[in-house]
Amino acid sequence: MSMVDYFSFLPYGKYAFYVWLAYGVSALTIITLFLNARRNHALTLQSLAHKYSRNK
Amino acid sequence: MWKWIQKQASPKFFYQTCNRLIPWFFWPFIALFMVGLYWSLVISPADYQQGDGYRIIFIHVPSAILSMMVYAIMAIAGGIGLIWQIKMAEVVAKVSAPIGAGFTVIALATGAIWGKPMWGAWWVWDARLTSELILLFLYLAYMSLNSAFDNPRTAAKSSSILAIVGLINLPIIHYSVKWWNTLHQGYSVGTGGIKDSDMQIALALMFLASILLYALLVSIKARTEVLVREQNSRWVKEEVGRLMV
Amino acid sequence: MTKRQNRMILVALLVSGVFLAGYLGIKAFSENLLYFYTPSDIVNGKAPKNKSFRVGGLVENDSVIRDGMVVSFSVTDNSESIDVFYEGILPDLFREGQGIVASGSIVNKCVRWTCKNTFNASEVLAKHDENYMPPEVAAALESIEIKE
Repeated sequence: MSMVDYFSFLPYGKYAFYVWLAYGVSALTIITLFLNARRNHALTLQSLAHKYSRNK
Repeated sequence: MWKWIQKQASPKFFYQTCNRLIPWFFWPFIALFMVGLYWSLVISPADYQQGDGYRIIFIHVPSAILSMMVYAIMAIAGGIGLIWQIKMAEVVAKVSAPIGAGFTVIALATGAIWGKPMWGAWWVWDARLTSELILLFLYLAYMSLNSAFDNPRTAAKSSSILAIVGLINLPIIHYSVKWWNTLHQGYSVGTGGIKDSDMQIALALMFLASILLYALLVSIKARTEVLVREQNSRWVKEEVGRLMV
Repeated sequence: MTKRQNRMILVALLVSGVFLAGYLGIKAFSENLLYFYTPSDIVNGKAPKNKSFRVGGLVENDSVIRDGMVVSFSVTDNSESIDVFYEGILPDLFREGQGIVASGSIVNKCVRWTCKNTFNASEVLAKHDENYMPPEVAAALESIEIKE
């Protein structure tokens, strides 16, 4: 449990590792979902624009 | 009334509505989430048993509720698509799946991280944890079935049936802590289990923020999905031309 | 790879996923349907014999005896209780009055002339309740209970 001790300087002491890990994992998942949604939209617009310009 | 529904359900109008709503979901989400985080991590007092370790609840419980709520929305929207042939309901169902899966992953991950220091184990095969894991598999099955067909209507039909059959899992998750002896504790929300008003406020803020996040992600993803489905219509060509100058 | 093959693979994955979920579900809901048995179940013979299982209940007050890494305590459901032996690290929440779930099996342990069924635990997990409050509130609630 050296990891737990290592992070115990952060707020929440002996639970710091677990609390910040949980919040970190969640933040990462939310950011991934959000960026992925934005990226898909941009890629879709690009590929549609490409398709229309070919058909002209 | 029926006219109004049909107007909402027209792809172009639906797309424009999503477009208009996105900033209305985004900024309140950011604001509520920030205040909610501050209330969860700073204002709320430590717990009498778990010290500061209990703070994981403010993410764990909202995402667990959302993981079930989004599934219900997905199955109901899928059912509406099946019965009334409303294409936009199919879109909502389809784009909800990865978001719900995301909430399920958060609920499972934060639960495991919470379980290790408090229970003494990352994972146990009790009824609550197992049924929540099955919810994740249902989302994954829905997504792979949905992408297995070229025709979006066929895909929507077969995956909606799967989603509706899977609804049976929701009451199992909810009542698992009542029906069986589980390591997971019973209900805290709605039973007065959370006795501190700051803890209640923090939880409520994080819950509202999660709902806004879901609405935001659905609007972004639905917009993309409508463009793909309606790519041969004139308004999509004009819209793409307008956006890609 | 053609689209058709692609689709076949996806459907195969889906079917195997559903089977896996079903298997896990049946596994969990048959043998582990009851995640733990209570001390009353053991006394009434409802718990499995000659097989490891889990027992759950509250750690009885003034029953915890520590001897290095070896801990013994009794678990109660307020009507029956059973002695538990365990060697290893206990979770943070372990204390007298706390709910726990221990896995292991029943052994007949004899001390001098008396033999007693005791539970030999290989793992002890803490079960916390659904209440969350700051320590002051917990203390206040307790004093109210004592007055009553």
